[in-house]
Amino acid sequence: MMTHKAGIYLHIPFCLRRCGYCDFCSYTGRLSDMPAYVERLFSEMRRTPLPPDYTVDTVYLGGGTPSLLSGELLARLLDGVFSSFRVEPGAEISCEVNPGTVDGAALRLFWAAGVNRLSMGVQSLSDRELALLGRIHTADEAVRAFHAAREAGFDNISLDLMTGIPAETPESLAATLAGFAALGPEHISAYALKIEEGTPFAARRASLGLPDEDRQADAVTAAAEALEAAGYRRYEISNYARPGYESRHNLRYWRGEEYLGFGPSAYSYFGGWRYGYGRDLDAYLRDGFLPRQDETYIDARAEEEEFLMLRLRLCEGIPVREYEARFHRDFYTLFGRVLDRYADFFVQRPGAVALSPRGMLVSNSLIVEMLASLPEGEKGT
Amino acid sequence: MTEKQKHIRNFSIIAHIDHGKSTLADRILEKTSAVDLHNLEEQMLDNMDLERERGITIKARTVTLTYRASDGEDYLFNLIDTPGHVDFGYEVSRSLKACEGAILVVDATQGVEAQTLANAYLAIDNDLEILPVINKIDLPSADVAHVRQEIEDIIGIPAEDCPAISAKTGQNIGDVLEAIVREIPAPVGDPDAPLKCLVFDSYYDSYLGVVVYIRVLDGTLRTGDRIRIMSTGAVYDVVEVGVPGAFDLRRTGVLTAGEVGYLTASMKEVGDTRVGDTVTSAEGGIREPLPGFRPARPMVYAGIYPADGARYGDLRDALEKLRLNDAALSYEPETSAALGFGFRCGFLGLLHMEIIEERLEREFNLDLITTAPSVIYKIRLRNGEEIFIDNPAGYPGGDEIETAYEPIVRASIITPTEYIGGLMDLCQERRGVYLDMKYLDTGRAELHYDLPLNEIVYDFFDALKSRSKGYASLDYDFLEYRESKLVKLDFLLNGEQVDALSFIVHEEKAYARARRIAERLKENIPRQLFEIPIQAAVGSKIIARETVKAMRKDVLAKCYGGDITRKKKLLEKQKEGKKKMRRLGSVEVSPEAFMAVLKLDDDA
Repeated sequence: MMTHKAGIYLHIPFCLRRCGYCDFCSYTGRLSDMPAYVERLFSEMRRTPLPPDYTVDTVYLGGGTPSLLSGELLARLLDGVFSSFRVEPGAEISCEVNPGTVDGAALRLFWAAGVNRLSMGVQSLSDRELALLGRIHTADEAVRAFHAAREAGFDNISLDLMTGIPAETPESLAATLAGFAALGPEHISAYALKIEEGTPFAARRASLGLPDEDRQADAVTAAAEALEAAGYRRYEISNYARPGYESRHNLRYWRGEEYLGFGPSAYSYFGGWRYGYGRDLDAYLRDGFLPRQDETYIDARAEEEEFLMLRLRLCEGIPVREYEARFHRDFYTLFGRVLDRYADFFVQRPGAVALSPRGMLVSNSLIVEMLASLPEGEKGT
Repeated sequence: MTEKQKHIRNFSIIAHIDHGKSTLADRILEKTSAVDLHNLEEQMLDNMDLERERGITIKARTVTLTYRASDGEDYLFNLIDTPGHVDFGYEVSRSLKACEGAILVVDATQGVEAQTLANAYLAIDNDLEILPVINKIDLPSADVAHVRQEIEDIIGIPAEDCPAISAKTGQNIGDVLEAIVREIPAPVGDPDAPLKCLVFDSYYDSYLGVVVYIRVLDGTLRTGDRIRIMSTGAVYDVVEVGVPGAFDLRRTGVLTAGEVGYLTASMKEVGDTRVGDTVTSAEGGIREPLPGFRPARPMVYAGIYPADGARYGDLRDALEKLRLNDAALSYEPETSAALGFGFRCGFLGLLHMEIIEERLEREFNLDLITTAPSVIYKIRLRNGEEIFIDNPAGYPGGDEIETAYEPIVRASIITPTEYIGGLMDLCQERRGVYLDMKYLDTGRAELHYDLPLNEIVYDFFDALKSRSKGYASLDYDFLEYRESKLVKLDFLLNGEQVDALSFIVHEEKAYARARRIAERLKENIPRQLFEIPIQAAVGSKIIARETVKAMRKDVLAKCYGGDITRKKKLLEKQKEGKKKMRRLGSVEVSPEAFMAVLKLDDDA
């Protein structure tokens, strides 16, 4: 029997404090609900088995702040994963870590529970910038947490970096990048700050002193250049890794592979359907389940649109042969005009078309150009 | 004078805006026997929503009423409503020609205003008896004695005994009705002479065809008569003759000299008879039409396009419908490389244009893109030919032009004296030629200028209002064509000319306008994936330039956590927005940005 693979995402919607820019589903002042919450996740996984021909090769604990979980709760949660699904040996098991919430002892417990990859939200190595972002840790604490993780045994660590943030200067960004390179993590996610509606940052956008479009673009470019010079390979618009350390779980999303998500706001894509859960922690604690929302069948047209949209995020780009075979199109007939017109924004390699570094800065506009080139009148989502 | 004529009073109500003309009309309708009170909607003579909202009358409406006076006799009142704006001055003058008198409403708190005066003069010019009425005496700030004095001093008509009323509360309305009987002359005219009727209004009714409002000056008109429209020579059989009630038409079968009423004759559009036209008998009629007929002459032109190109057909149907009722509106199909299919429309003036736009948007639910208004230029070409240009796109090249002429209007501005300086500066900036100024009283003056109409269509009203805190008013009449140094200003985006942005401007103004519009374009065109040079050109000479820098970074939605749906929705939205974009050459501009550029909303 041929086996299929799926990823598991577990959402941990608890934080000590909300950061000003964050619009993920999370609650503060509710840490005492964590044990009950873990039980809810546990039993939900138990009653949501994957078909027998599926194995799990990635598990991802995101949040929120999953590193607020005690070693015991984390172990219980992963026990739920291992007992509900066929997790492959060597599966990637990631956990997001807020450097302000962990010490060496906690990290050792995470390692012992089975976590083998950490994604640490460092964001910046400037204390002033960290304070403005609303982070609960200093640069020094972040560095110490990183070393503690190494000592606990983690040999696959990702650090989050944020560009285009309040008070950032080219010099401060260069210092942060140098600091990241000196730490030498296996993976770095470098996200440009986006002001999301409904966040505190959106409410005081004008007074944040955000860099303008040109400076944001400069920051993204500076990060890309510095990280590549330090030996990281950019493999997605915002992600860099030493060879072999790309985030396998995130690649699932970008490659259109299947995953199941658990907990409020978590998304699943399975059997052609994508759906999310509502963002209501109380309902989940009370009822043990959440209504699905945005439930969508990804038909051929939607799949094609997502293929274009997601593959263009990846540096490997759109595999032309695969695209043509899957969607019965002639790639260059359809997109030749866009590729010619915006030649500087694309890289054409044998068998693949990807965005150039310049194109990655304006990926939305380019993806829209690509989508607008698809024939009209076919049903999308 | 016949016995019948002795009991007829034909009159209009004239007033400055907001002085209470329509409210008075309502009260008169209530106090006479035309109207069922339960059906009375406020200000019923203004029967278009838009008019009611703006408090101005656009299309005149007429109503016949009966009134039992204190002398015990019954009188027939024909209340002829008049439009209240400078764009419709000609219509006002024709309506007044149908009357013997006019009620001049003056606000007891505001006194004589610009339009009070302009309308009073118009009435005097038409030999009408003016019956002043001071309104709004219920307001605490009413100063009746002062206003009486003003009317006598400024207009020069006796006002000592004129009615002082509140149209709102109904106080003293009886005085007005009695004064109408007493002061306004009865009509004259020979019922046995050849038929002579003045057309002063018409509208299209889907059952009756065109309903023509007439004043019978001489003769008698009956159902079944064969009539001739003198401007066109067209002959019709009269289907119906009668008088307009407040809510419906009432057939009478006959109208005689001195009477006001309507006729229908299976006419298909209002353009078949123009206001001011003369109606006579097809046989044995009069030879000479009434003086003063003027065909509808649009003064202002603009391109109107549907924001959504697919609605071109809807726009065409809507214009067709509006034209049934508005002979002054003209339109013909026009194609713009930038805006697609639309219409070049002609209007009496800016207000008329605004009204048409609003009606298209409201009544027909259309989103429009309107190009900058243009006037009609007269060009003598080197080959001796003389042409009229209402569309910048048709403007000949500089080397083909021998002489260019632009329309000049004679403008009268009435303003409180403290704003005189600012308004004189404004007229100066707008290439006005000062004629004279007279003081109306210690607080107000009237300025006379000859002004190019193209300066007036370029945002003059707004500038006038902003420099006088809203107090100054403007009235103007076409005067003549004068030689002028005109140039056509073109705009190029990414090296390609955008036809819809071209306009004609006086040489001296070209640089300033060019810079201003180029800046507006820069502000309103969103950054795109490539740099966009903006150039303003006169002929092949570039006189202003700006650059929209290339977009360097767009917003990267985070794309992890599996919430691909949301990310995709954002892109779908962006794609939908892109579909609505107008392509100006290789540049995409949203309809909103386009309108923002064309909007003439400040002193430029």
